Amino acid sequence: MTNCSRDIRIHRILKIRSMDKTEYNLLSEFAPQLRTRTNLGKTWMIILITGILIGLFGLYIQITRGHIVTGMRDYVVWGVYIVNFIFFMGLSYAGALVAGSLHLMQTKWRKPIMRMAEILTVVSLMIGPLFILLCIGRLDRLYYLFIYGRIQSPITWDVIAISTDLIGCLIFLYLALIPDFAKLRDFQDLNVQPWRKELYRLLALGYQDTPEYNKILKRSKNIMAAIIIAIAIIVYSVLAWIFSVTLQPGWHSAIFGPYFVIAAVYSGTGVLIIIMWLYRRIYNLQAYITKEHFVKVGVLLLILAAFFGYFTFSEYLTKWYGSEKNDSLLIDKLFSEFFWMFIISNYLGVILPLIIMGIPKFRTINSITFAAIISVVALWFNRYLIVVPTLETPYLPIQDSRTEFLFYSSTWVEWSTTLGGIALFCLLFTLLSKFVPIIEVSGFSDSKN
Amino acid sequence: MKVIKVRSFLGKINQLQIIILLMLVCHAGAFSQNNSKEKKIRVRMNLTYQNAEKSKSLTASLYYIEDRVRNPVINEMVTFYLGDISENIVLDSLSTDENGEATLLFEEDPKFTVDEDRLFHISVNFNGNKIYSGVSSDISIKDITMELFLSEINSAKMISVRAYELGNNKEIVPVEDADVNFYVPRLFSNQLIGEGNISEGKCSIEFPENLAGDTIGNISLIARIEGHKFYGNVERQIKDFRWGTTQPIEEDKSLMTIEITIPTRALWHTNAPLWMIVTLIILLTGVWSHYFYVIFQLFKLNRISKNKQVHQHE
Repeated sequence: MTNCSRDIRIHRILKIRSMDKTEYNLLSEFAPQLRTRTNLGKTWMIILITGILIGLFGLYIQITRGHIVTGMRDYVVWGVYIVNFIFFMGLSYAGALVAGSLHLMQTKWRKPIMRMAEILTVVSLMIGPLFILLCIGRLDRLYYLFIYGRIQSPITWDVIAISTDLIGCLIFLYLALIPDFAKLRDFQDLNVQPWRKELYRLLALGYQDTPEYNKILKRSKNIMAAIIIAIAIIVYSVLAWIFSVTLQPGWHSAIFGPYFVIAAVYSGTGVLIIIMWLYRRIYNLQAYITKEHFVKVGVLLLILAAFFGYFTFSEYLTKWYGSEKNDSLLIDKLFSEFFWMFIISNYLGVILPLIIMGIPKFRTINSITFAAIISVVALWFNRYLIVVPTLETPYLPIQDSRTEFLFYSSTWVEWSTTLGGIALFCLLFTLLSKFVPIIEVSGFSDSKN
Repeated sequence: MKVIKVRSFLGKINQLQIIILLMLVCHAGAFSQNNSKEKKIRVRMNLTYQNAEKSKSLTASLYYIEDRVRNPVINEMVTFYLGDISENIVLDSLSTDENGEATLLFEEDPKFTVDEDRLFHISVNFNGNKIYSGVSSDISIKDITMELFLSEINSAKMISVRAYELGNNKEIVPVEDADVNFYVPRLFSNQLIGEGNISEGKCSIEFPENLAGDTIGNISLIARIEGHKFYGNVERQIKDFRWGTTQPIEEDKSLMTIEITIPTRALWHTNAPLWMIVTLIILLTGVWSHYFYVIFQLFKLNRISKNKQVHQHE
C-alpha cells in the first residue's frame, strides 16, 4: 500500500470517527480477526504450533532422560527456566500496574492500550509458572506443596501469591470484557460460529449499557484495579524475597524487592510497546494507537529506565565498595565471563532508552519500539545475571565436585522448552485477541469518550 | 524508468562497499575451507600419583573442554611407559572409564630404578583417533614412605609424621619442605584439624582438645600431602583411637536441648512464627474478601438482567 492510499484510509477513518459511527464499524476496525481469516494469520498459527511442538519434544526428552539433559547441576541449580519465570512474571506485573493505574486515574488516552495490557497480564501469568514446573525434578510430588506446604517457606508464599494474583487478574480482565461481550452479543450480523455467539451471551451476564449496570461494573472494576496493583507488587516482591532471604552473594539484599518490581515494570512496559506496535501494523490501527500513545508509554519507559539504572548502580556499588570476598568474586565474574551480557543489560539497556526517549527528536514510533526491544533483551539478560553467576560463586566452599558441576551452560533442551513457552505465550495472546476486540469497543462507542 | 533506478542504485555502491563485499566473500570462503577439514576434538591429559597406605597408583585423566565444561573421554586406550615413550618400556595399556580415567596400579613397593635425584619417570600416551586428537604427558615421581604416629608428651596429645625417600641403595633421605594436612573423617566430608610442614623428615602438631568422637570417643585421623610436584598425593590413616570426646545418645536431655535450640523461623520447624501466620491471614482475608465481593456483584448483575427479562415478558 502506498503512503498516499494509507493516508486516505486514515483520513477516512478519522472522518468516520467524527461522525456518528456505528459500533459495527468500530468492531470491524478493532477486531477484524473476529470475522476474517487471513493467510498471514494461518501462517502465524502454524509457526506458533510448531514452536510449541518443539518445546514439547524438549520436555519429553527432559522427562524421559531426567534433568541431566539440562545445564543445571549440583551448584547451579537454576538456569534459563527460572530466568524465564522471573521474566514472564515481570511482564504480568507490568500489565497489571499499567492497566490498573491507568484505570484508576481515568487517563483519557488509556482506551486503545488497556485491553493489550490486561491480556498481557493474564497470559504472562499463565506462562511464567510453567517454567517453574520445568525446574522441578519430581513433578509427581508437586501436590506435596499443598499437603505438606509450610507457611514459613518462601516457595509456599509464591504458590499462594501467584494463584491469588492469577485469579485477581482474570476477574479484572473479565470485568473489562463484559461490556464488549454485550456488544458482541448484540451484533446481529456478526459472522461467527453459533457457539461463540452463545458464549458471548453467557459471558455478558445480561449486561445493558444503563447507569444501573455501569455503576455496579465501575465499582467492581475500581476495586479490582486497586487490588491487582497491590497484589502484583506483593507477588513480585515475594519472588524477589525467594532470592534475597537466601544467603548467596548478590542475592542477600534489602533492596531486592523494589529492584525486582522496577525491573519487572520496565521490561513489561517494553513488551507492551512491542505489542502496541505489532497490533497497530497488523490491524491497521494507526488512527487509534497514535504516536501520542507511544510517546506517553515511552515516557513511562524513560522513567523506569532511570529507576532501573539507579537501583542497579546502588546494588553493585555497595557490593563493590564492601569488598566482601564472595561479592568481589561475583563482580569479577560479571566483568570477565559475563562482560558483554553485563554491558548490554546494565549499560545499553539503561542508556539507549534514556537517549531515545530523552531527546524529543528521536521520539518516533519505530525508535520508541526499538528502545522497548532493547529494554526487553536487557532485562532478560539482567535476570540471567542475577541467577547464574551468583550460583557459580557460592559462599560454601566447593569440595570433591566435578568441574562441570561448577559452571552452567544451557542446553538445547532448555532452549527448546523456552521456545515452546514463548510460542504458547504468543498463541494464547493471539487466541484471546481473536476472541475479543483488541481495543475496547464499548469505550469508543460511548459518547462520553 | 527501471534503468534509471538500477543506475542510481549502482551509483550508491561506492568503492568502500565493494571492498567490504569482497572481504565478506573471502571470509565465507575461509569458513568453507575450515569446514571441509575434519576438526578433531582437542584432548587434554592430567596425571595424578596416589601414594596411599597399601596401594600406589598413577591415574591418567583424559578430557576435553566444550562450552567451558569439562567432558571425560570415555573408553579410549592409553599406554603407560616407564621412562620416555621412545624407550618403549610399556608398563600397561588401559581403557579409560566413564570418568575418563585410566588407573595404573603399582606393586606396594615398585622396584623402579631411580636417578640421582631419586626420581623415576613415567610417560603416558593417547594415540588419538578420528574424533580425538592424540596427547601424551609424563610425570616424575619420588616414591616416599610416610608414617603417622600418635603420642602424649606431658599430657599434650601430639600427632607426628615421619617421611623419607629411598635411594637405589636403600639409603634414607628425609623429606624436606612438604606441607601436610591433618583431617578427621566426618559424615559428609573430612574436617581439617591442623596443618604442618615436614622438615628433616618430621612434622608434629598438637591434637586439638574437645574434638567430638563417636559415642565412646573413637576418632580417626588422616595425614595427607596433597598435590605435591614429585610425591603426588600421599595419605596415611589411623583408625579408631579414643582421643575424641564422647557423644552419649542415651541422655534424653541432649535431645530435648536440640528440640529447644531449633530457631522458630527454621524451615523444618513444626509451626510457622505467629507474626507470619497473622500477616498471611490479614493479607489473604483482605484480598479474597474483595474478590468475593466483586464476584457477588457479578451475580447481582446477572440477577438484575434476569429480573428485567421477566418484567419485559410480563
